[in-house]
Amino acid sequence: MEPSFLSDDALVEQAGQGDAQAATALVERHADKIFAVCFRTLRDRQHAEDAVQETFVNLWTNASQWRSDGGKLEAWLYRVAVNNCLSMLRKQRREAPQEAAPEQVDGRPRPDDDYLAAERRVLIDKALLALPDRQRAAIALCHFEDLSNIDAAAAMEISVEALESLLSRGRRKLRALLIDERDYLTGMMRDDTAN
Amino acid sequence: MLTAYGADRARWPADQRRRLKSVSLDERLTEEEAVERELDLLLGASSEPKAPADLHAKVMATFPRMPARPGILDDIKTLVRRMARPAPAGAFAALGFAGFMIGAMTNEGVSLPPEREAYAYAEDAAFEFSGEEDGAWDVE
Repeated sequence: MEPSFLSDDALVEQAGQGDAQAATALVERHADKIFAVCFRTLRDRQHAEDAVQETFVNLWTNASQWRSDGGKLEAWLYRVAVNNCLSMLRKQRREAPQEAAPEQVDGRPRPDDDYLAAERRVLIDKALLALPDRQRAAIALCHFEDLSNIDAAAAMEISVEALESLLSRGRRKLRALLIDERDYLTGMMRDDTAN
Repeated sequence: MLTAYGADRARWPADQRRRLKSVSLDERLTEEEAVERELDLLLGASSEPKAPADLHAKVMATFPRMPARPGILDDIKTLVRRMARPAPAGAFAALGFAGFMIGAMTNEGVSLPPEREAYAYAEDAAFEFSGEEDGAWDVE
């Protein structure tokens, strides 16, 4: 059967036996979503790529003994990816405490952007960067990746209550960080809508 | 719900959404909802992570290339190769043994030099005491 029609569990089993086609199907199905979470948590493209690769290395390593036990592969991948991202951030802090937070905000205007949109994006990205890692990861999973609270809590290996606490604190901090720019930002957005 | 999940109720957990469907917000919560809606809008304007074009290839490069499972023909070849390894020593031993056996079986036909022939004859001959006084031995 064409690998793209197979379930995740069947593909993992085949990948565990060395089937490269099954592995390719898994990568095509999940790698972009995992990259999005990694990028939103790490805010760095290169590190996000590394985290995605590490996540899939974990999958290949465990593929031959894979037991779904009712859990979804996607949830497992998110959990491993978030763990990898948080470990990378901790390691970065240990190795270079003065460069604690990743500082790479891509402020370059894209071809289809106007200047205001690029500026707005930089301000929001900076605010997201300033969040504590776990709050940023929680917002990445729930707000940007639309994971349910149960799945997001499982990915972060915490309770739903703890996840909601992270989300509340994260959003509160974002509001505080953006409050000075609020009128400016929302004004820009109104202008965009009007245009 | 507002502070954790934002103003968009579609993001709220389904059970909470159902439970709070009929609840009307008071003035304070309405204000709160407006603030959270603005934040939702701002978050929507953050950078979109676009996966690099070569991400899949890079991830696939981490996939361990395992050797293909050998077929039955490969199994036979391996077996023959293993068996062939001690063959030279075995062949020499077998040849040596065969040579020894052939030599032993054809021993009778071997002709000896004349002096050795005489000894051999003497050894093989049956000697009998003739009983004569001179003590001569008769040879049959």
